[in-house]
Amino acid sequence: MNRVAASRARSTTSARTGVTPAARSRARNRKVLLWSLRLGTVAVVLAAWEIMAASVGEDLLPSLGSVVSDGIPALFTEGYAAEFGQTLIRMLIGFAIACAIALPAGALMGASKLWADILTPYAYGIYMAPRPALLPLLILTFGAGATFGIVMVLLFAVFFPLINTAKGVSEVVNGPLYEMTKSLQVSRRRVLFAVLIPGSLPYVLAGIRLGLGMAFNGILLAELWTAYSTGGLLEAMISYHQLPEYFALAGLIGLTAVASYSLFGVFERRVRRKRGMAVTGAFGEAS
Amino acid sequence: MTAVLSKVSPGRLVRVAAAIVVFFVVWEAYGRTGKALAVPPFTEVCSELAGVLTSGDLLGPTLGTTAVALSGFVIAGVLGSLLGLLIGLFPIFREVVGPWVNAAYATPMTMFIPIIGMYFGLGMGSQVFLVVTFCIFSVLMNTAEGVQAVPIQYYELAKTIGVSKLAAVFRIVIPFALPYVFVGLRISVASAFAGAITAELLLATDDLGLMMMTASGNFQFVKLAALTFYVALLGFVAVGLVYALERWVAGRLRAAA
Amino acid sequence: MTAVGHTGHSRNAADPRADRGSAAGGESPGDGTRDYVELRGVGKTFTHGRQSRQILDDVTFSVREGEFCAIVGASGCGKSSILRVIDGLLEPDTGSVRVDGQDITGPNSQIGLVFQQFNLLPWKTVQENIMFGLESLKLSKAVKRERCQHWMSVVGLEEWSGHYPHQLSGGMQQRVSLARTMAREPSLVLMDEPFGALDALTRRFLQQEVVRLWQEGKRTGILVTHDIEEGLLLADRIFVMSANPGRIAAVVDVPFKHPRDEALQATAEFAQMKEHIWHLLTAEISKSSPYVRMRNEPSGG
Repeated sequence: MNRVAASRARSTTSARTGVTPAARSRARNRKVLLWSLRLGTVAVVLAAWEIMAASVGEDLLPSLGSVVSDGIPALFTEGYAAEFGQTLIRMLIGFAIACAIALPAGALMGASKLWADILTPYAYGIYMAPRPALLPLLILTFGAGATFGIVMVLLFAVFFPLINTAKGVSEVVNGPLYEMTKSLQVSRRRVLFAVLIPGSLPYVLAGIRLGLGMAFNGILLAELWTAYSTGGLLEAMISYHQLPEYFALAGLIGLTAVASYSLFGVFERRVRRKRGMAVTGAFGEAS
Repeated sequence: MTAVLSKVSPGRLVRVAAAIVVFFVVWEAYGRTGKALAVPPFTEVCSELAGVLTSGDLLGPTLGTTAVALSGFVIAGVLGSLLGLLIGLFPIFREVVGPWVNAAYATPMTMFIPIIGMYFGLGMGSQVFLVVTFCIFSVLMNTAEGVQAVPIQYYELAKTIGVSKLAAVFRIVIPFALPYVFVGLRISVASAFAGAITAELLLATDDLGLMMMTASGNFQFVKLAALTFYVALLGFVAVGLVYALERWVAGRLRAAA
Repeated sequence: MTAVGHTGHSRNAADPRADRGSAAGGESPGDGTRDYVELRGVGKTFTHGRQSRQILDDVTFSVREGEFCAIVGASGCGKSSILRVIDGLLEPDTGSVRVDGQDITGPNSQIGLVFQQFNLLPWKTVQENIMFGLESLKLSKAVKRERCQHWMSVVGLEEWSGHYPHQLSGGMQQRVSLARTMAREPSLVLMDEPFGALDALTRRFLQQEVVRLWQEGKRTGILVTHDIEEGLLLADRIFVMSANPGRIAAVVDVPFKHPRDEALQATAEFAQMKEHIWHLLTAEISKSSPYVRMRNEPSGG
């Protein structure tokens, strides 16, 4: 057992071990301390921002006040948020297509060594190749509009769901559970729904979570390249020195991305906890 | 007693190679139909690339792009692994900073490209900065994971032997976490080239990015395809080099042990 | 010497199974019990990439109906593979496997296998896991639920029916696994080192449970273990297995009467048997040349 697990074992309580009031209050105190430290670091960062903004002037770095008073309302009055909504829809379309390809392909890779051999070069080829290099080329085929963005999202987002689904399915199929279902004469169809899908769910969720993060990068990259929609807005705001609006929009984008990432993280943790799997802490994702 | 089973049978290697070959065959076939401007036949792309290579036009831009990518990669590698080490070693640090690092990983750094240009100017500085933002997370997170994966027994062993905490870090933690670090570095180097190209297309058009944009602007589609293919190859070569580096480092470590 | 504690099954001419039994050719008339499990010349080789390993070589033995046998051998000698061959999970390269006179072509509902690693579905509760084990059987929901309840109480886990596997200790999880297998009420129960992952106390407790179950019902059982004592405490006969490749090296009748308790374990006779089997095992391990198979002549199996 490594240090993380040991330290967590010391500080968490489970249904099996006795939960003493002393242990509970210790855990609560620790939580309070941690959150105050976390918010403290944020406060330090925000304070540093204000100091910098004051020293370099509004032109370079708007104060937090002006971001809030000028930037945030503009999101709604000027329709920036709505525009981002459009971007989000395009991103989700691209992401849905990516998952529609990645999940079955990943399951195939996990279940069959043959397909794993065939698809792995494509999967890693897409991941290791510098995808932004395709921007000039793809714009020729797809134009500079919505389709272009969707295609870029597809290219960016397909890898993680694919690889993680493959890993999850492979673990179930190559693991002892699968043999057990054969011994119990469970029909293959039933195995798919009752064993394969629930068994690979934690990995699939991880893949979707990571893929979603890449999807955001994909759509923004495409829109910055073509100065389209939200990307165009961001570039225009810089050109016209509308910095409070820029930071407000960037904040909105960032918040949306972090929120969706965290939401999936919460869901994934719950799924893992139910199965008694290790609930990874601050970091757990490798590739 | 148990025989050492070979890891990969020749059959599987053949399948992988075949899949790659199929890709090029399909590319060639589709390119020949002429349906897509962006997809010339593979053979045409190759000859175009050969031409550009021999003309020597590619050398400068390649060096330029590689310099940007490499600088960003090295900075991200050093910073990322140090931070990852700290996060892995000190639970307090990890629990406080962790969520914010995760939040930063989740935010699309792409959206900051316009303002990076504004702050860092339109030169190599901003390009390297962008590359670092692309690269640093995979190094950081994989290093942290590697450090955290060190079994607690190793620390206990160190204590009983009387190894100081600092020495333990160097002689136990780092060698153990090294494979994880290299996973992060491999991903990172691919991201480095992606970041460099992104910077050269969107920030300060330069080197290979400039070449690509020029070709695009001059409707030299085959040349553009050739350059795109070339950049992809650069990325693969870079990853391969990191693989080789890992084997070399592992070999040196084993020799030193 | 015949083992005590299992029920005999008498044949008569009207019994359709009698003909099948004699066709299998392992009967001695007047024995009262017939061969339920028969392996003849079973061989299996695994290929991995370029390497191949012969796991089983000419494995031949029989188990009588209602008998509880143990296969004892070192790790990696292929004993688990034998169970999988009997359960129809593994197809042998050579030889034949017959259970109840029928050739084995795949898993069937009369044979149950208890795994070493519990193999419970982590996202299902105890009750759901046992019900999942009953899914392939064509029984009404009511019967399934009743069997589930019955076996949960037999293994003593009714209060934990709504819990998830990770909330249970290893011993409890293995009890769930046992209940799941037994709920299908198979006539042949195979156990693959079922208590290997448990601590000594839990192991002893579950061993006694198994003995109790076999006293109550007319089931045939084959246990695979590396623990000689376990074999002596549970089995009527012990098959001593050698490794590389796996072969049945010897068959030993266990003469002790049930209940076999701590008092028995303290006797000299017990220690002698244990040493005898130990010698049989180590003789196989230390032999470097092709060995002579020492087998008691099969008396009906």
